[in-house]
Amino acid sequence: MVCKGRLTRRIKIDRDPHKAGCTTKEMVAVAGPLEQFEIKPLAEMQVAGIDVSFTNSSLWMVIVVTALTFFLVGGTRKNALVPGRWQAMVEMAYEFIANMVKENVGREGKQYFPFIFTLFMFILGSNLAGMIPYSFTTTSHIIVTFALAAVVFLGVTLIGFAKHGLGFLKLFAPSGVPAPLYILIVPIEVMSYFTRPISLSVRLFANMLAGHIMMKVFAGFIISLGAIGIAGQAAAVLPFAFNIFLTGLEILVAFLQAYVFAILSCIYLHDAMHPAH
Amino acid sequence: MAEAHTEVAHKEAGLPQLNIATFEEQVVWLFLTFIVLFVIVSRLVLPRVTKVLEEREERIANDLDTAERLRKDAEDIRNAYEEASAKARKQAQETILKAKEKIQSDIAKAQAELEETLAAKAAEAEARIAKARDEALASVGDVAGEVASDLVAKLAGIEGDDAAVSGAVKAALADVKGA
Repeated sequence: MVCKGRLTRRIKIDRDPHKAGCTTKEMVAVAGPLEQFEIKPLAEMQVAGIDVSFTNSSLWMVIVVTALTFFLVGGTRKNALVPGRWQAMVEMAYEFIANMVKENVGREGKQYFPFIFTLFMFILGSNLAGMIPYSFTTTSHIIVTFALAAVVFLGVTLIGFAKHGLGFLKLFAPSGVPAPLYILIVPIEVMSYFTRPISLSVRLFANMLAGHIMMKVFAGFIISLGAIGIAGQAAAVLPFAFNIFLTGLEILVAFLQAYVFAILSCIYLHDAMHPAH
Repeated sequence: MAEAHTEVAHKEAGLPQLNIATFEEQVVWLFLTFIVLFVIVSRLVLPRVTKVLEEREERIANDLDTAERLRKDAEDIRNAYEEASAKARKQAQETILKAKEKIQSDIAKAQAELEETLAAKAAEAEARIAKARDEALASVGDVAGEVASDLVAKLAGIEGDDAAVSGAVKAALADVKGA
């Protein structure tokens, strides 16, 4: 949309990791912790006035979806009665999400199972792909997580009104509360409802952002310490060890946040199904 | 335009997430890739997994049914065997009992027959003895008469009137018998 020429010029420089994304900071040997989040257009495109440029973010979305497709289709290719390891993994993912939907939405939630499954796999795939060195974490961008959360929020709201009409508004007035308290409770419920997409998206985005910044910062420590001398190189073992620990933690967070996003979507769906709880 | 962008990027304190200029394409590609994945998942992957899981469940249920049926068959066979063996045992016992009864009745019959023959023989012998005694008793009168007439002839010298003597003896015998 804007300044494409400049951005593409920058990509050439970006190939060199030490100078990644910085035209003004070329003196700095270590890439800043925020460099990894930069969107770099690979091919500029516009369709009907909308910017559809293929960027490193789009590239990683395509890579994630391709990898997920390979994993899911490949695992179910043989569809054996006695599953192999690969098929068992796909079935495990299936049953994990199926149980989540059954327990949190109920039996009538079955029709939303494909969406929740896709949502979980997409977020999990993106989070895990972000753990590959030099990759790009698409879910570390607020706009991506917010778009997903907005889809969930709008979908839940539409389903709620489609199923219950105005009865869906009962969600904001829980039964069994003394009448005067409604003056207090209804605004709170309304507010909590409308902050859902924000909390849902910020939770995932912030987790990804913070984790990746931490890893980068500690990786930066290793380089900086290594440049000092022998003593610094010996001390660099500490941030290195911590980064190994962080990598494990981030993989856990990748699973956990995908799970949290999916289960909260289920809980919101449950609200849409049963507003008067 | 280019300058505007760099300015925005710098103003946002370097956090690329807040660069609004990149939002459009991110959302477009997100929805595009997400929808592709959704279609693949909902059309291809999930039906496959559902199918195989259902098949497996069905198979397991069938196997359980078969196992249950076979168990029931085995139970039936065992019951039949036990019934047959019980019946055979009962029959055997009945046969033994019958045989015993028959033997006992045979023994009783034989005993009764034997007793009857023995009683008959005893009765016959008694009758014979009685007859012999009667005969002996009857001959006692004659012998006594003869002895009496001989005694009379020898002692009194009277040629015995045999009829009178035998009358007297008979009377005397009758007295003895009567006493």
